[in-house]
Amino acid sequence: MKLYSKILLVAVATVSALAMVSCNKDNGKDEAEATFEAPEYADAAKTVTITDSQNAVSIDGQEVSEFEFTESGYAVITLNKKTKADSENGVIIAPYTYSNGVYTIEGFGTIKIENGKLVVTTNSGNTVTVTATVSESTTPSEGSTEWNLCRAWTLVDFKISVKGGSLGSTGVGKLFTNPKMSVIKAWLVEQKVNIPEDVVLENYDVVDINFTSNGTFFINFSKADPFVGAWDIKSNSFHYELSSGGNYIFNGSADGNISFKKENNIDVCVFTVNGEIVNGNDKYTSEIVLTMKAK
Amino acid sequence: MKKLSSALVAACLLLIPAAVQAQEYDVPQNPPTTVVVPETVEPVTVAEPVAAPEPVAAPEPVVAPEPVVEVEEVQAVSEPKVKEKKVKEKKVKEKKEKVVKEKKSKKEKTYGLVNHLGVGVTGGVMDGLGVTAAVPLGGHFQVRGTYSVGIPDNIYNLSYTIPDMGSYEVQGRTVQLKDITVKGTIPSDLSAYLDFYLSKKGNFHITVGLNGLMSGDNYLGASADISKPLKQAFPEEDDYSTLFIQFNDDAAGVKAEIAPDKDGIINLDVKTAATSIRPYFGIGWGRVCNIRSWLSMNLEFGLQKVDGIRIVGYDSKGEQQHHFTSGMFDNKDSFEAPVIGKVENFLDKAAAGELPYIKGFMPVVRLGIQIRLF
Repeated sequence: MKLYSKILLVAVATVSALAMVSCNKDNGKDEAEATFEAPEYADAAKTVTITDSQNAVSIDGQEVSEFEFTESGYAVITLNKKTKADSENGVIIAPYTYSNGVYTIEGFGTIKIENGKLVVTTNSGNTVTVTATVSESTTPSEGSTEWNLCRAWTLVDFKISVKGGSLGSTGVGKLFTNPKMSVIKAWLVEQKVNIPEDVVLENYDVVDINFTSNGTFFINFSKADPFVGAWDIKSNSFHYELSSGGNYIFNGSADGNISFKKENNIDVCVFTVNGEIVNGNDKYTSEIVLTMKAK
Repeated sequence: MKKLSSALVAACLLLIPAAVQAQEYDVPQNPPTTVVVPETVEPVTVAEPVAAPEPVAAPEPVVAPEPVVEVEEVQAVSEPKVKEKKVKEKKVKEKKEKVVKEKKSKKEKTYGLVNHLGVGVTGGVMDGLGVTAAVPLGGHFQVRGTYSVGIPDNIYNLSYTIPDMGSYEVQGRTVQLKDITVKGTIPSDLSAYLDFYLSKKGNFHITVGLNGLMSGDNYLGASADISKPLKQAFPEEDDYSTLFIQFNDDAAGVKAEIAPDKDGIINLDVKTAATSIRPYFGIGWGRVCNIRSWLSMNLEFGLQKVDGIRIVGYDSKGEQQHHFTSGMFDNKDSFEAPVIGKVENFLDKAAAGELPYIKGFMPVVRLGIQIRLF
C-alpha cells in the first residue's frame, strides 16, 4: 500500500503542478523587454549656439546659427534665414565623427571647442573662431523612454492602413517588409487613395529616423531633403512637429505612439504615426506603423 | 516404546504369582471316582493341617515412565502420527491466509478514503479527448481530474466546407469566397470535479466542478482556409499575411486588424468574455474507481457556465487583436457581405452571454472508459 500511496502522491502533485502552471500562464505572446545600450556618440552629444556678433560661420552664403551634435552621430546644422522673406531656417544634416575633442563634419570641416569659443576649419581650409554657448545634452536615465528612443533607427518593416473616403470605416492595410515608397504609392493608388501624380513619393525611401535628447526629430531619405522638426511626449502621447518637410506619408505634424519590444530576438521600436491623406474632396485617415531597429 | 515395555513387564509380573499359586494348589485333573474305605476304621489321623502358604505380596504397581517427546524416536516409532500433525499445521496456516485474504478482499470491495485509484480516457463534445484520474472519498464522494487535449487532427478532422460565402472587394480586388473549408479546434484544458453518489456502492452521481483551469480564456478555435481565393485575386503575393483588413468601431474607439497567415488561413479564437474558469454541473452514471469491476464506463451530461464569448483574430504579425464588436460592422456600404447582419446580431448576443441552447450555459456530454489500478 505504501507504493500505491506514493503513486497517488505523484499523481496529485502532477495535477497540482499543472494547475499552478495554468494559473501563471500568459495567454498572449510573451514579449520580453527590449534593452538598448548607450548610443555611440552619447558622450559627444552637445548643442553649440553661435553668439558671436562679429564673426560668423557660413555655408553657401548662409550663416550658421547652431550646431547640434546628436547621439546618433549626425550634426544638425541650423542656418539663419537667407533673407527675412524666407519662411523657415535652413537645416543641413551631415554625419560627424568625434576624436580628441575635435568634431569632423562630413562635407563641411572640423570644429573644436576651446574656452567657450568654436574654432571652425572648413574643408576649403578657411578657419574662423567664433564665440558660442555650449549646452551639454542631458543624458536620459538608462532604460527610460528617452534613453531608448534617442538614437538613429532603420526600418525593419512599414505597415500602412487607410480608411475613410470611398473605403468607409473599414480600412485596408498592408505590411511592407522591404518598404519602397514607389511600391507603397502604387498600393495606395490601387486602394483608390488618390495621390497627385506630381507627388514623387519615390524619392522618399527612408534611410533612417532620428530622435535626439535635445528634442530634435529628423528623417533622412535616399533622394530627398530630410524632414526636420521637434518631438515630445506628453501624457504618454507622442507628437512631432516638422519645421521643414512633410508629405502624404509623414505629415507636417502628427500624433502617435512609441513602444519598445523584442521581435524575432531583435530590440525594436514601434513608432505609430496617425495622419491624413487629403486630395481635393477625398480625405483619408492613415495609420503608419514603423518597426525600427537601432542603427 | 517404554510404555510398551512397561506394560509387558507388568503383565509378566502379574502372571508369575498366578503361576506359582497354581503350582501349590495343584488340583488333580482327574478326581478318583471311588474311594475304598477300610472296615476297621482306625482313627483317622488327621493330618496336620497344611500351613496355608504365605500370601504372596501384591506386586508393586508399575509407574509408567514420563513420556519423552523425541521426534526421531516417535517417527521411528509412529509415522502416521507425525503426518497427522503436519496436516493440521498446514490447515491452520491455510485458514489464517484465508482470513487475511478475506479481510483484504472485503477492504477492496469498499470505498474508503483514497483507498483506490482509477484512471481512464474520456471523450466529450465540448472538450474532445482526454485522460482522467479519480480517487474515492468514502462511498458517496469521488474526486476526479481530467486533462483534455482537444481533438487531434489525426483522430478526427472537425472541418466543414462552405460552398459560397459571397464576394468581397478587398484591397482593391474582388475576392470570391467559394469552397471555403472551416475547421474547428478545441484547446487543451484541465478540469476538476467532485462526484456525489446517492448510494455508497451505486453509480448514479451528481457532479460539480470547474472547467477552464488551464485553458485561460481560450474556449474554442476556428480557422478558414482562403488561400485559393487569395491566390486568384493576388497572384503576385507569396506572403498573404501582409494583407489585412482593419475593422473600426469608432463609437467605442477600438479597432481590430485581421490578416490571414502566410499560407492564407484566417485563424479566429473564441474566448470567454469574463472569467476563464467555467463552473460545471452535471449528472452521470458510472465510477472511475469501480470496486465491482476493474474496468468501467462513465457517461455524463452537464452544463458549464460561460459568461459571454468574444471572437478575436490576429494581425499580420500574428498578434491577437481586439475582439470583434457589432460596431465594427456598422458601415455596410464599405464592407458588403451577405451575413453581416447575422454577424452583428451574433456578436452582440455572444458578448452578453446569450449563447445558443441555454442562456449563459453550454452543454457538455462526456463518455469515459477507465480501469481501477488498485
